[in-house]
Amino acid sequence: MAENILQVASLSKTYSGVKALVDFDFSIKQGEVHCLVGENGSGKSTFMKIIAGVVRPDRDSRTQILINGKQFRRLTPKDSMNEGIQVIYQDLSLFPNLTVAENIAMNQRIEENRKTVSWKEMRRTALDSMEQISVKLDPEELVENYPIAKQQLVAICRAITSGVQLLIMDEPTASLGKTDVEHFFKVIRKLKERGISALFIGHKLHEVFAIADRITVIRDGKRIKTFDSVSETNEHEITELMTGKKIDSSKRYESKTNGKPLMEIRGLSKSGQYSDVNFTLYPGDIIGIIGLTGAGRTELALSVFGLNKPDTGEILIDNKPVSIESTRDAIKNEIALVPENRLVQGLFTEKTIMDNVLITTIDEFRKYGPFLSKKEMVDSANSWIDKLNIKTPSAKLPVKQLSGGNQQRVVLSKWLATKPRILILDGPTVGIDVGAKAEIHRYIQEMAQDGIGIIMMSDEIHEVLHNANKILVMREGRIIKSADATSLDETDLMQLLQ
Amino acid sequence: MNVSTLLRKATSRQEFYLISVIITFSVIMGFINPAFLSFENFFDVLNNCATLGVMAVGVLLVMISGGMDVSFSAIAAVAMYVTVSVLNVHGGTVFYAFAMAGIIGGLLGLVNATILSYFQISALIITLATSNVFYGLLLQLVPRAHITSIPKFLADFGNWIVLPIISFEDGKTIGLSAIAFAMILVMLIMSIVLRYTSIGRNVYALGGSREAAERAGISIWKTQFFVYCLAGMLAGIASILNVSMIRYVNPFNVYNVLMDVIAAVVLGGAKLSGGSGTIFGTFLGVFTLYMIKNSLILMGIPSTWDSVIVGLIIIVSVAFTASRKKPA
Repeated sequence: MAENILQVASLSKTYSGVKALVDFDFSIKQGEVHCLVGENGSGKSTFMKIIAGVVRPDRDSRTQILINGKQFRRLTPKDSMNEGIQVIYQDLSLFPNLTVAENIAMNQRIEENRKTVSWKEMRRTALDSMEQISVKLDPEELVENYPIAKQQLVAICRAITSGVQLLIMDEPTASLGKTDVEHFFKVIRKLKERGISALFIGHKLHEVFAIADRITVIRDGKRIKTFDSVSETNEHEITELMTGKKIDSSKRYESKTNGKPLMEIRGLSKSGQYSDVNFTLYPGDIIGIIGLTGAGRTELALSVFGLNKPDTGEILIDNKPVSIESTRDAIKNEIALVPENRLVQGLFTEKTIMDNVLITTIDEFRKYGPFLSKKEMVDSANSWIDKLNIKTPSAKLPVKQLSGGNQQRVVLSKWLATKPRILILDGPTVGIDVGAKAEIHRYIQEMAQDGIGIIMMSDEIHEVLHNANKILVMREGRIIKSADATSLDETDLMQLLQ
Repeated sequence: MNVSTLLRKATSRQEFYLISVIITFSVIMGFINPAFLSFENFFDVLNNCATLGVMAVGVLLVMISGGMDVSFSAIAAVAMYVTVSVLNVHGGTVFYAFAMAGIIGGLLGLVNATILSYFQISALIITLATSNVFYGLLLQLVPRAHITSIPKFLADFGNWIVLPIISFEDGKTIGLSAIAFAMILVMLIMSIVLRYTSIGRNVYALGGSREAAERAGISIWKTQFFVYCLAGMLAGIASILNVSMIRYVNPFNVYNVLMDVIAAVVLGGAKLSGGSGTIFGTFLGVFTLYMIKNSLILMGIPSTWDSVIVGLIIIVSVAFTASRKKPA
């Protein structure tokens, strides 16, 4: 049996009275991939930061931190690095304006505290490091010219330059496509072969199952359970352990209202993106359009919202053909879109919740000529916070301080404020943890039951299966299957997506 | 590397466009006024570039680090006045002049850096404020800060042709002046510093991503002190080049080069958001800017148009840098 490279016992951390980590036990063996899964706020980042030496744990005589058999009372970032622990943060912490070689050799240069730099040596370090994990990138190219998946490889190469033994990665697959994830896993397996351990912090369970040797579930700062092999458990069980709630997998959404068609899409095509898309949306419907990244679903969503003009086909609303050529047209037709990348396209993260929620309807608050009624704005914002259960001490909190799930609620309320009849959601729960997901799903269903027609684009099988009454499967720009959700199950969808 | 990748790399660099502009411009101006293409005019332009060029290097450094300095011209005015006053009384050498102005500049830069490291607020606002304080104090303490006579050694330095190319019978020589040489030397040294020293690379790293720099263990504090002090120091040195050339001290003139220098640096391809820019690009930026201004004179356009042109150059080059395609 392999040695434990890291072993902690009875680790606790309290932030001003809030227990982030409680009597936490964890170990990782040499050459092992250990996944730590938990919802946001469950304590996994606190644990990561303690191991990186950035956060100091509570004083407790029972606490033990053993790295490579060495006992540590408390870790500094330097101790942690000296023991061969490297952390890759979610934002990668690269220098976009510098070359691949310089980025990879950066840690080494800083560690050795050199006064001058040798470009030849940096190049060699970079090539060495890339060779170790069989990655080929141009060392002279600027990092910003590479897509995010390649940038991540640069971050890994940098981490392994200095005799790394344990690589800690915070949600490394958050922004990767499917093929990139596969390549990334290959790299991790390569590292494993070389005896390097990885602590993988994540929430996409199918990925966790693809890579993990062991899985530890953390909830409310406590270790709930560690599985010594992935075959001992399944995604369903892990989800329940993470949320502490039972989940019924046979549940489907049923549309309650009906009546006249709200919107009809006829033969919509755009060359190179999607072709011959047909469907009819009734009030109360949730149509789930499922397709992997690149299937054309986002492009379709943008077309319906007037941001991507289709070549042919028509859109009917209330049985009348309409032309939607701009977002202005879309809003006039009472259509709203919650985009896939909420941080880039949907939110002013520096601004307050109130500013974000009210931005779409700001004219309604004009009371005295051009002046806004502050009181009505605050009341309105607070009513949205109540309605969508946004967890915040105040409407004046900047959105960037909220968790992903709460940010998504802000985006939702912003568009709901326009009182749309048709709501397009593109990846409504991307990057949100399981518990918050369930709540957003419940809210989406409530909106539909109030008579809004919802089109939900997603690449998650469970999301569409349990929350849509009609499902369209999209592949390479075509609808390859259109059926009621009740007639489909997980395996059907998996096969269709393959 | 084949021709197309070479072309792709070339067209992704600001230097490529600047050289093209310089060549095109020279040809056109050569037709309009043959005097433009003379050796004499070339060295004249180079000589006149020196003050701008040395200041621009300092500003470039600050901009690469993701900061901003608009106090350098005020620093130069103060350093120039104090240095020349002292040397007029006590005498000295050219070396003293540069050392003294450099140290005064560096100390004033230190003021910027200190304020910046204590309060993390916009460098633009801080240096705008310190600029007013420095320049205001100078005018307050010495209301008529003009000095019409300068030490002889400075005037001699201004006349010194280091590398004569053509000598005329009347004793006039054309060639590389000590002033232009000083600028080239500063640029060469700073190119090496930026490319081959850790502190130089840290400046780029800081401008690329402050957070990543912090996590990588780069001292933000040290790097910022380095760039702001050096920018002040170079402004001081530049002021001595200016006084050796013009031969009298007029703080107002030096104070007014602010926009020219910033225009030259952004024209040279430095991004206001930090992280990019080269000394060679800045040199070309300075050269192009001065060439344009110089040709306005040759074409007989009143110098009152200068500020219009400089403003337009800033707009065009910022827009151009922002829209320039990255190599795929």
